[in-house]
Amino acid sequence: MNFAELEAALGADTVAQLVCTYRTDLATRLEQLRAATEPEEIRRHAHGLRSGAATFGATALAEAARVLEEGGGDLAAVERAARAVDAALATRAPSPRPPGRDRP
Amino acid sequence: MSSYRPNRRALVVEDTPSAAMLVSALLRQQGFTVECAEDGESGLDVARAQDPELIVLDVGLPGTDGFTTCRELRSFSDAYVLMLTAQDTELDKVIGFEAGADDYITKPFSTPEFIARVQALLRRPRRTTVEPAPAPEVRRFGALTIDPGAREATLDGAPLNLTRREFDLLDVLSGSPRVAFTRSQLVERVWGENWFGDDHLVGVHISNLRRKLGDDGRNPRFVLTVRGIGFRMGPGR
Repeated sequence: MNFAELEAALGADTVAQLVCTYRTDLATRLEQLRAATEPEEIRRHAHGLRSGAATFGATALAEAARVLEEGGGDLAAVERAARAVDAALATRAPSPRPPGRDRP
Repeated sequence: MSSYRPNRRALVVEDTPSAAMLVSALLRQQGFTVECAEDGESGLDVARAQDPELIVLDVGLPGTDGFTTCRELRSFSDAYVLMLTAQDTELDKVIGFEAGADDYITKPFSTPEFIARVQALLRRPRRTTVEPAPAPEVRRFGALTIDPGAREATLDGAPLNLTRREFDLLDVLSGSPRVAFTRSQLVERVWGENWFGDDHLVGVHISNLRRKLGDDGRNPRFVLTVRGIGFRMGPGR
């Protein structure tokens, strides 16, 4: 995601809220993936994680999630990529809301 | 911004909250009132209730996926459908267009491109914005009666609940019943010459039209398939 373009379109405050919501999404999806045991459950949550990562241009995380979604790879690779994304985004929106918040 | 368009409704069907929030914010900035739905079924409910002008539809939805949702949408809505998804293969795109999408954007997407594509969709002519032409005569094909002036079609005297584009297709075909139209010609006549999407969209609407006419796809009475060409009107017998 080109944050300069996004801020030009929506303003810095809205983008900070978006990043915060995405960081919460990410934490929620990771929790769901860790708890998932059935292949269909893993596929569904990996797809959700990939979709969010792709939206925000986190291509390495999206690719790791894609491999997991397709039945390969492992959760550890996704977790590593997710930590890198979250650390990069933390400078833009330091405090994600806890999982379970209302929809936008 | 000159592209601001007040009083327009959009629907975002997306199960990832941050993606829904992002797309909603971009559409609101373009002047849309935006509703969100988290899955295909609730998206269809909102679309039926609110008749949005634009629908941004994810593919990988929980339950009913975006392709199936789009096909169902096309049975009652002429909204512009923009698929926005992480499903990025050529096959996914073809399926999306065949399901009735007007455009298809893969994630990640650029903000200016998204806005430009929405604006391009909205520039396409819609039948309701065109000045009415003098009413042509009522046409009869067996049990099917088409009144282009009233934009009404009846089958055995019962009104058919056709979408705008389904009626437009029937109008074009029945207006020149001996002409076999290619998909491209039908796209040009119904969607306009500036339409730049996939011609397979015609097949989706023809399929829905046939279903409402009670046509058997293998032996249709009203909308005939002309092999290697496209479609033409049948005699209705």
